[in-house]
Amino acid sequence: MIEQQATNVGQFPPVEAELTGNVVVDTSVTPGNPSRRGAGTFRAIMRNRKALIGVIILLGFAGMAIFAPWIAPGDPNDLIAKRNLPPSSEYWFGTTGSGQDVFAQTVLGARASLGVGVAVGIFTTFLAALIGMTAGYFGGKVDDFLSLFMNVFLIIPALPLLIVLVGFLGGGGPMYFVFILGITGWSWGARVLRSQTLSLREKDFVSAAEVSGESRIRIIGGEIFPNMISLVAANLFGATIYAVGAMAALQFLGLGNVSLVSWGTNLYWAQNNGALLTGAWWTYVPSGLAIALVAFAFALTNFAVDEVTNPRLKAQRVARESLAKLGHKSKKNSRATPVIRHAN
Amino acid sequence: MAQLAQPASPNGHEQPILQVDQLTKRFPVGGLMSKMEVHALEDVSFSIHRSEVVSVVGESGSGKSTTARLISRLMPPSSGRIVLNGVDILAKEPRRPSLKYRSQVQMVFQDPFGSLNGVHTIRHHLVRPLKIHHKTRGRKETNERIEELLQTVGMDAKTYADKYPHQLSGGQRQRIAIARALAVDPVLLLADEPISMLDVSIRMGILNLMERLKQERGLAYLYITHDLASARYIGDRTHVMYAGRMVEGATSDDLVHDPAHPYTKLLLSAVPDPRAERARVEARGEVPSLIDPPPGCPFAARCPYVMPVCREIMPGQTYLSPTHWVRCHLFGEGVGIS
Amino acid sequence: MQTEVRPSGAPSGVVEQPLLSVRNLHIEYASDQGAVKAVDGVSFDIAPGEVFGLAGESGSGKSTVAHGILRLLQPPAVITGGEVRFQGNDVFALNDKQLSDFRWSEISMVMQSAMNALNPVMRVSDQIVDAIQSHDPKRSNSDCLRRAKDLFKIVGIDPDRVTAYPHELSGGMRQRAMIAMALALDPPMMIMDEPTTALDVVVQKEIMQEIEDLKAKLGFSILFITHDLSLLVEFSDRIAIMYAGKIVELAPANVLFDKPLHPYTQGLMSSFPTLTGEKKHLSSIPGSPPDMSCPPSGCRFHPRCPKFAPMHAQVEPELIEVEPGHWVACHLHTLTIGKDQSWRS
Repeated sequence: MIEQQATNVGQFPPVEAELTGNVVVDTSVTPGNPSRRGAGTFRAIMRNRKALIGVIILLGFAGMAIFAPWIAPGDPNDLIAKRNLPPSSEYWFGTTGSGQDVFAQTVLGARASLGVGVAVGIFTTFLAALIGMTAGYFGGKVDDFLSLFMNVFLIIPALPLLIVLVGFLGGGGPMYFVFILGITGWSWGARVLRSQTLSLREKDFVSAAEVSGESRIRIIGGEIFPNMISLVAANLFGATIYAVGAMAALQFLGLGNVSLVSWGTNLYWAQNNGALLTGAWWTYVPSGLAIALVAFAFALTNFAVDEVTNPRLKAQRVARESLAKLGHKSKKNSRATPVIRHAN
Repeated sequence: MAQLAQPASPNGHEQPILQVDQLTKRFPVGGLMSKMEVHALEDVSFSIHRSEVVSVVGESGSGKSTTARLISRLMPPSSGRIVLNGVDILAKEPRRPSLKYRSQVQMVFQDPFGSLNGVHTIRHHLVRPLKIHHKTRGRKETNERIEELLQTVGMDAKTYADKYPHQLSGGQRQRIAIARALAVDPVLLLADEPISMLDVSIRMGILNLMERLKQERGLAYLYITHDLASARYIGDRTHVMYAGRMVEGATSDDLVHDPAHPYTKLLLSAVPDPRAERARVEARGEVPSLIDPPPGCPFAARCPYVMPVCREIMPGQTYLSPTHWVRCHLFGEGVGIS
Repeated sequence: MQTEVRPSGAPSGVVEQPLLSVRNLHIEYASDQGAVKAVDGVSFDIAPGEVFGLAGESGSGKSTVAHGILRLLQPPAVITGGEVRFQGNDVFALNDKQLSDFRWSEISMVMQSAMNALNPVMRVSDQIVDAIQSHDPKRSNSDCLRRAKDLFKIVGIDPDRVTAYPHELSGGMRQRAMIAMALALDPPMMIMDEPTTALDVVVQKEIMQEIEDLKAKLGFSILFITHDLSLLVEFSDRIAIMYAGKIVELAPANVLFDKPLHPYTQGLMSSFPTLTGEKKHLSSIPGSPPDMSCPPSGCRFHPRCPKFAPMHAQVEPELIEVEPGHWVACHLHTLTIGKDQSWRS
């Protein structure tokens, strides 16, 4: 018997049964389902409060990175004032242990950190999609080989590998980090996308495309991929956060070129200059907070993408809100359908 | 192997559109080191003529869906021949099916929700086959053809062409699936349980549409179902499958009124029919495992008329009439295959 | 013969002391586009030992009714009106603990797909023992296990298989295991929601036979929900046909089969191809089941009805007893009541 998941899960009728060959499916048109086309999805995401906050924060940081030279002109490595000055009206974030402007360093640091983060995000997602989808769709020996490849990269512990590569390859500029983080970070995403491709490949619309004579490339790109966009987006966000954090961690350890201005090196120098001992919190809090906020913003946006693409999550939230409006206090763990009597 | 005789076609000597000979499909199972195989389909032979609907009836594990997937060439058979309009297809194009084959044999799937891609409009679903097979030139011609196709299945292009699948009901989606299949002007349509997931009140509409297309275009159909009643309603001939084998074939009325194979009789007695007298069904056991099955007839374990020979030799086809054959030792002198 | 016209919401007179009594049930689904009325004023009784069939298609609300009776619906579902009484007790007035006790020991449920209802990582025996012990904590494990084996014997599975995992059982056996579980606490009533729809027809027939045998032996009533009308006619005592959240016809099974009054029922009956009899051209009911967020005005079936008249789109027909035990909600039948004491279609 063919078993398939009901695609209108979370909507009515309520019985989210697995459908087997003989079962009758709800054929009434489901109202109000957001169109999954670009514009509709985008609007739906924007309507979500979490996403809005996340996007605003990200835009803020992006703006900071792009307009950095105008926001904080000059070379952030210049020694401009006395060391370890706390924040004041003259130097908003104070000065570092060497007498540099913390504000300038933070603002300009966004360029390297975010730049590498986004580049790695795109690079790894692209690799993950290419390899994962190829393995998932073609199956057989192709899959066997690519899966082995993926698994090898997965098992290798990333951080030690990164340290070793950094040690061997020398250098240490942004491109360098993009390469290293990209090479070590794609395999997990590839596995996830491969799984999803495997399950989508069994869908009837893929078989129907094959029977129509559609070429394999077009099936992967035109039929399977559009159904995976939310997963790819989640991958993109996750990989970006990973890259921002990993780069900062590596730089904090002193690896790579420490004279590059980025959030990670800021933290390295703060630690180097004994900021914890001297109590110069303004030298590490801005960069640390920046990293945390960026990760937070991506996570919020991810929530929203999840909700838009998984109607069940939305239905639950809507239900809670509507019931609250009707004046019903929903008990957290009540396993009974609420009974509200109003005039009929 | 001796060529098994084919039943007479509805109009005498016309060559069948599709002839399937000893089609077999086995899947390896059980991990890298095992040699076990699932015998999903074993030695299936039948033919379909122009303007004919052949119904294939079976329960789960019978191999009926596998038959459709093999004929649609979604997967290769382990052995056997597929002959389309006299051409031995597997000999001619053993690896990947040609575009020509794809334009001659089309398929409609069981799940109206799953067979359309939720991210594409109806128009996209219909444009693709037209483009792939170069059926139209230019946007105007394409749009006209789409309008035509939608009209054929009883839907208005202006209303539906730019909608998404989730905005349509199950019956409407199935009509779109039929329209898509028709886009390439096929000669054979494989319908794999096309109505079993639809609401009862709209099933007939789809079957009647299929019937009308058969009359108007001479389409040949392979109609796969578990429902004997609809098999009889739309099928000119009905074949019964059990555990990967075809066990009986006859005109639909003959099969229902004069069943020969014990499994067919069991199936008939199990169908809820308020008009018929209520007989109890005493079916012992269930469908056997298809993994490395023992020799002989697969129904032997459950058959009330089982004989020792049934467990050793798979019965061959015996003709009870020019249009009614059965594979069962009760009917004697068929060519046995051990 | 005098026909009594009873107002809707009180189809009594047929059942003296009903086991289950549903009155004017309203169930809605909250959504951000406004509430959707899935069940709109449904009333019926079920007598002890009776098999009551509830038939309908998508959007009819039959599953919602079944789950609503036990308050099993998940948010965004809300019960917005009506009353369900079981042996006289108001089910909606029970608190969570009482409801939990009530479920399974008074009314149990067999669902459509066993793989949905059975926990795939627990042995079936453990699940039965769990069910028994949650209602009777003092019962010992060995006692419960013995009961589980007995139940398996009753439903026709080898009792030694009681320790299997659900995926180790075949489809038919899983369904039997579900029935065994539903019988665990000897409830006076079982709700069966499409219990055989996912099964092959031969297994379906076997299971239905078994259910009938069990019912004859143990005497429970059944609320049987399905879209398969022929199955219902074979199996039920009385049948209610639901359409778009309302009951449109209610009658004893043989009466419904021989003399369906509502055009929807008639359409359904004639859209089943048969094995016996002449092969005649059948037609389906035009259109599709309605969108419940915006149901048709007046009689909800009017857009698809071959006997439509303009008035039908304006006034909702009431469910009226046109013959003893035969209720229908259709202007074609209720309009002629009162002209003379007997009815004509």
